[in-house]
Amino acid sequence: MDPDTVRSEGLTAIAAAGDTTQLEQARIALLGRKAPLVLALRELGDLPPDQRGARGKVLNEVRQALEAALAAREAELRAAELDARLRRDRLDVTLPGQPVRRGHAHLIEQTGRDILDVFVGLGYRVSDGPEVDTVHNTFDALNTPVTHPSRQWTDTFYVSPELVLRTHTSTMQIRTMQAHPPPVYMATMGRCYRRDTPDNTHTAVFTQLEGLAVDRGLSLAHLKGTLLSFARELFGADREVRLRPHYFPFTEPSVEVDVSCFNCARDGSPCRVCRGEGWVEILGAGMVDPALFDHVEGYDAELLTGYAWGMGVERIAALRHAIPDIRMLWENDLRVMEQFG
Amino acid sequence: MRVPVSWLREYVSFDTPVEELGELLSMTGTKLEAISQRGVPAGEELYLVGRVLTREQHPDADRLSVCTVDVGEQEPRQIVCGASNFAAGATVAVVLPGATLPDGTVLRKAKLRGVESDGMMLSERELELSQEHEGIMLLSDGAVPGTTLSEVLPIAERVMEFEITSNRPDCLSVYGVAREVSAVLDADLAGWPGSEPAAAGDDSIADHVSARIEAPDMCPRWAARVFADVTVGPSPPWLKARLVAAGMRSISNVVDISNYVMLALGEPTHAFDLDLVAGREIIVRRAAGGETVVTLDGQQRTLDPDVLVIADRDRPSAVAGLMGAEWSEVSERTTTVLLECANFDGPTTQASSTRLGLRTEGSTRWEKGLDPHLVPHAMTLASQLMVELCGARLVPGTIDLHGDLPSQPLVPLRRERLEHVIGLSYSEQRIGAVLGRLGYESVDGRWRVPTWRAADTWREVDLIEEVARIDGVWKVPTLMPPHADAVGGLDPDVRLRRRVIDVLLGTGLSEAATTTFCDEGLAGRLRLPADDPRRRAVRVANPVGADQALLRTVVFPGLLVSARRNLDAGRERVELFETGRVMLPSDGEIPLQPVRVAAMVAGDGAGFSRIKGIAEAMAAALGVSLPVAALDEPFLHPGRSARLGEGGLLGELHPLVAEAYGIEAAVAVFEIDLAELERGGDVPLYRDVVTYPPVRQDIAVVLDGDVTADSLLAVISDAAGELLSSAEVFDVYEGPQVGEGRRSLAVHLVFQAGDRTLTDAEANAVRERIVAAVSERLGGELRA
Repeated sequence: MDPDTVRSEGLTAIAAAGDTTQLEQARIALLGRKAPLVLALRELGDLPPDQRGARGKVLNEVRQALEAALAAREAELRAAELDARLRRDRLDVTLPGQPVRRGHAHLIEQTGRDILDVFVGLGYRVSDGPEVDTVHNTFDALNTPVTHPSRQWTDTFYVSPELVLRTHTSTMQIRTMQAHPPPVYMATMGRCYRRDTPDNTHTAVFTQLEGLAVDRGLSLAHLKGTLLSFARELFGADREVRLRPHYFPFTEPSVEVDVSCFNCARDGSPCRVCRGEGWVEILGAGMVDPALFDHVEGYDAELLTGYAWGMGVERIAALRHAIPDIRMLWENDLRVMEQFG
Repeated sequence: MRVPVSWLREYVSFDTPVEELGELLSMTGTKLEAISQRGVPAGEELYLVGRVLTREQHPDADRLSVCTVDVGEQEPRQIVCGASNFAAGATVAVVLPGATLPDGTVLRKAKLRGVESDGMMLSERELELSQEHEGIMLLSDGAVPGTTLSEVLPIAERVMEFEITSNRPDCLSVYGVAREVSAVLDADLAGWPGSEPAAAGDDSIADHVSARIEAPDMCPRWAARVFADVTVGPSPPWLKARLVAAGMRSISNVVDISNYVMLALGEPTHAFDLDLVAGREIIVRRAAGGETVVTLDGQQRTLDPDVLVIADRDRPSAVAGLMGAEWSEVSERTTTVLLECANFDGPTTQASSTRLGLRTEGSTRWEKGLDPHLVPHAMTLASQLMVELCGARLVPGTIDLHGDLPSQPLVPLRRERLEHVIGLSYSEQRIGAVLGRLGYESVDGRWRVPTWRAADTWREVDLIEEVARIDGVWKVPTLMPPHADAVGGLDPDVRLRRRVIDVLLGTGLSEAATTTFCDEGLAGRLRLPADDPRRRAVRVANPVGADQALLRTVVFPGLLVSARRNLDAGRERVELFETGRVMLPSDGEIPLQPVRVAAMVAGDGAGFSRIKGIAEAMAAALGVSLPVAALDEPFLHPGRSARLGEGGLLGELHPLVAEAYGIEAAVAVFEIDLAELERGGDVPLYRDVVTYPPVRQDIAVVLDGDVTADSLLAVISDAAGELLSSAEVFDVYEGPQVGEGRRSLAVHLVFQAGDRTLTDAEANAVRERIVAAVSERLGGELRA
């Protein structure tokens, strides 16, 4: 057995192995129990002592060289095989993932939370209250004249001469002031009812969101600042607000509040939101009429001032999301609801 | 309120462009809704006054005439005309070729049946002055040929339409809007329109009619004048034009005058044919119960004592403030007119209007409460027009019945309070200018409120509003309130509701919003027995329709309607929930209105197990325990119906109920008061489940089929004591291996101690106690 031949043929065989199976066969052939090199190593003891050292050294060198080559080739082949396997496992990553069923929050709830969260950040407490309420809380204590159109049976749902389906969340103004001494910073959202003929901007049941602040030293300027903060949070940082005088029985002065259009360049060109006017009416507001304080204990109309505002949540949602008909919000058509997250 | 601009300019002059004025009014409380253009769109110089010089028959057309018309040019123009209501000498309105007509067509020189026509004589309708198209419009003979028509008539009118808030009936008039313009522009307001005509004759009003008020609470003031020798006929074009531009129809001169005064001053008046007034006496009284009257619109109306009428000796001749009776109407035969200028109580008129289902231009003003001091102003203007336009003789004397009229409040206005409330500085001079223009008078440091605002303005804050709105609330700065004490947050019930919504969204359900209204048929569709408390619903006294007459006592039926809609749209699986109030009659001041959560699964995968799994996940997430126990509900599948918690319900929908809702798919629901999901004050405390590992064991026990899982778990828990940390049923087997009428329940048991690792011996001892208890108390045997 010629060590040099074993070495060179062995290295050739190792290099020629195309996969780990062939390499294992080569290993058995070169270094297995019956391999000539292994037999030669085993037979070293039979040699005369003076030849043993040199022969052993040569044979061990060959063995080490073959072992190193085997290890190197094996690492090489394993890497290639892993690579090939991973390449086989390649997926079309553009295929959809495993579907997860997910609920969709109602747009009224989403919009209401967005708005309420702004006011929570401004220090308001969010409360909820009954929808069937007294004529006292709905009209009388809110300074609404007996001739006011909103009291008419054509406009308001009555349960009895003393009970109505509240026409606004302003009932919570009285309820809150009755329950809490001043100062009060309260926001509320809930269902209201009006005997409107349904159309794309009116439904008999709708959702109102309202706020009330009563404290020392509050002015119309603070109302405007508060509503500007709200408008910018909800409609974008560049918004401005504009107050226009109006009339509500429970505020004096009363204003309607417009926000600069968030949908167009405000250059008078046609716009679905502002109709080219540049301003969009979003809510009604005003300074709390001092007459309201007469209906609650512990509120001094000379010391305290306050303001309140109210808005239709469906209207805000429709404005933001370009919904053409708010009646859709009460139909719960999943095809519609899924559009909004 | 529609305000023709030319009319407005009669009371206040301004150079401000109309669009800009509209913007200013919008910004000061009189909201401009629209500006519309009526009449001639452009080229007004081609519309001239003409005088017909000759009128001859057209040679080839019976219906046409050939005229020469002087329009102030050197030569008269030849115009072919189809009208027949004029002769040579008539003063007419002429439009020349090249002009654009109000309907958009451009007039050309033309040949009509071979004869050249170099212009056109116009009817009122062609100028959009009125609907009149019987013939051409005849102008008063004083007009000079060649004068541009626009100097004589408002042939090109812009009309501003305003939204008037319900507290400002004074602005339901051109003069009232003019007063706002005067304040906004700081411009002079003309004096009250109208000048008293001279009365004539030796008679006096007392010779013609007597009047008395029997219901002064409903009629604070009643005044009248009598006009003799009245010629009822058409109104002149200018009057028609103003009425039409303001949105009313022209009827006859007498009726038009009444309407004109209402539009000008905001005071509705009414004209009676005095010769038809029985006994020549007027009684302002409550109607008798069951008394009937046929109003001008031809409707017979049954009255009651809460309705005020203007009656003669025999019967009502008008429902006060609403509409006259047909029989007392002014007609072409009328020669003597009784003109009423009154003041009717707002609430009375409103109540009558509602009860009779009759709203008119008059009633919408009365119901807001009008100023009784308007009466003499209205009387003056109406009298002037009656004399000028109807050739009437004003009979000397005026009936004017009234008690104490409301006084004008004197109201203080502290500048510092104004500035405090608005957050803006004002000069005394500015305050005085604004209030002065609006008709307030300064008296010894206080302000005397004008009569037309006295009902609405009697406190300092009302004056603050006046100054702020006219001066411009757009000037108000933006400040944030100082509120250092206010801490924002959600009330516990609001927070819980949000949490419930979020948890259910996480289980895959979508949130719905369904109406609070329901119909009488709901109880039947839900198969509720006669004594079921859910039949006791709060009833709406004035529902829009029978399907909205009641308020819901349960929430889930609304979800069924939504399920049907989505299933019909092709959805195979519809899973919805809603949080909302139900209304339950109670002895309290208001009905009980608890907030509920209802959930529903329909279609693929829907069933008892799915809905219960959702309820369990919700309860676990909220940290509450919601026991479920079998309980029959009439609208649920009798074998799959349960009570959830204390008062909730859970189960599969009864097939007959599903059928009633048109749903073929499987449906399951739960509903429960949100209050039951309140965990209370305790927050969960940490238990050590990490340091000492648990011992897990499974057992399967064979039991009679009617032993519930809950009762098995109760026995296990009872027998195990505190080392048992959980026991959960994970498999159910029924079949030949366990025998008829029996089933096997497999239970995961987890044993754990907080202070040591349990030994097998300890765990086995507990397990043996469990097996023994199950055997002894439930007749269960361990399955091999």
